[in-house]
Amino acid sequence: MRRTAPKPPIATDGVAAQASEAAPPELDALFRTHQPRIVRLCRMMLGDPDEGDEVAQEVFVRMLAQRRSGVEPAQWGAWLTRVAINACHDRRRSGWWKWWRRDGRELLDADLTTPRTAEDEAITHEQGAAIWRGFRGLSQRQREVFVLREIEGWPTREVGAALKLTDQAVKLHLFRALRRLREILRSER
Amino acid sequence: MSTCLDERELTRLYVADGGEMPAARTHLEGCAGCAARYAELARESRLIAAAIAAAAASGATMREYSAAERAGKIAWRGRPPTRTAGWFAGATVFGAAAAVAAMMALGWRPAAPARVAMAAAARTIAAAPVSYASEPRYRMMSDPISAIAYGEAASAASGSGDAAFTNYGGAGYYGDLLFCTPGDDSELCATSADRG
Repeated sequence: MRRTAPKPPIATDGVAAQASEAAPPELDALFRTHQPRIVRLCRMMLGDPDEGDEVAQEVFVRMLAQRRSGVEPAQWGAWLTRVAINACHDRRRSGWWKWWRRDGRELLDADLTTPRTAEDEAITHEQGAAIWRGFRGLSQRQREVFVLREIEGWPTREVGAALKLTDQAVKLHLFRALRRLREILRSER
Repeated sequence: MSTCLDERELTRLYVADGGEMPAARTHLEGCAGCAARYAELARESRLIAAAIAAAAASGATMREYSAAERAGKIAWRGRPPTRTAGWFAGATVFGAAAAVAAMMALGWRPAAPARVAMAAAARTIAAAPVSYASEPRYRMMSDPISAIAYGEAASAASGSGDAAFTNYGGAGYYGDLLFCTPGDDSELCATSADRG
């Protein structure tokens, strides 16, 4: 496989600007409504902030293309989530993205603004780091199932449909992921 | 269900969809201990989900965690590879020892090359003693192993009264013959009997 030079990450503002130029205010609103969730989802699915951000950009570019095609989905939120899941799968399958990962790469993205919950406050920095390490140590399937069911709150059937898994397989992956992450949480106490 | 639920059952219940595992749910309603443990499990799951979501929402936090993870990996990789190297070295030694033991069990014995060559040469001489006796000097000067073999064979032959091997001073002479050719009367090649 030929190793290519890393592409500079695209700033999220770039897509926002593109969306604004393309212009309808409702498109801008659509972007601003879903962007934090989609970026977070892609980061979690890929376990890497840089790759997550890049894939999220691709998702919103597809949203623009879909918008221009004139065929609009019934629910943009669900459509974007499915496109994001598929884009993350494609990125993972391609394999080449690993070659782009570099230590100390300069990043242009801004933190997403999400309100801190009581659970956030209850987790120490060390616990958070340990949980993140454990999360990255899960298998790809376990990570995806955990994200969609425990964080995104999807029902088992929808998770299975999105990931092409049976309900039983979804529960099994979630069971294993949960057991592993709880072990880590307890060991950090 | 009368017995209390263990951690595995509680986790399965948490993962299950509503309506599944009705017996466990019934037990949970009537057992304060299990209900408390289930509530703790649910709380921990929320904590974990919140921690992951918070890390993913903050690029800086996510990067900090990843950097710490990489640093940990690099530190691990940077240590002297004693564990892996030791394991491989041990496995190699054990494998070699096992192979030798297996071969010896099958009847193989390590051969001493000089002894093998000598035995082969002696067999050759015994098969044709006259030809060696006719020109021993030249053969043995070019091949020390043949000389040794020649000495042994000559000793054996002199003991049995073979005239071909008694021309150079009898059994005592040939008994001490090592790298000297028959008829060599230098001091180094003199027998202990001659010197004495």
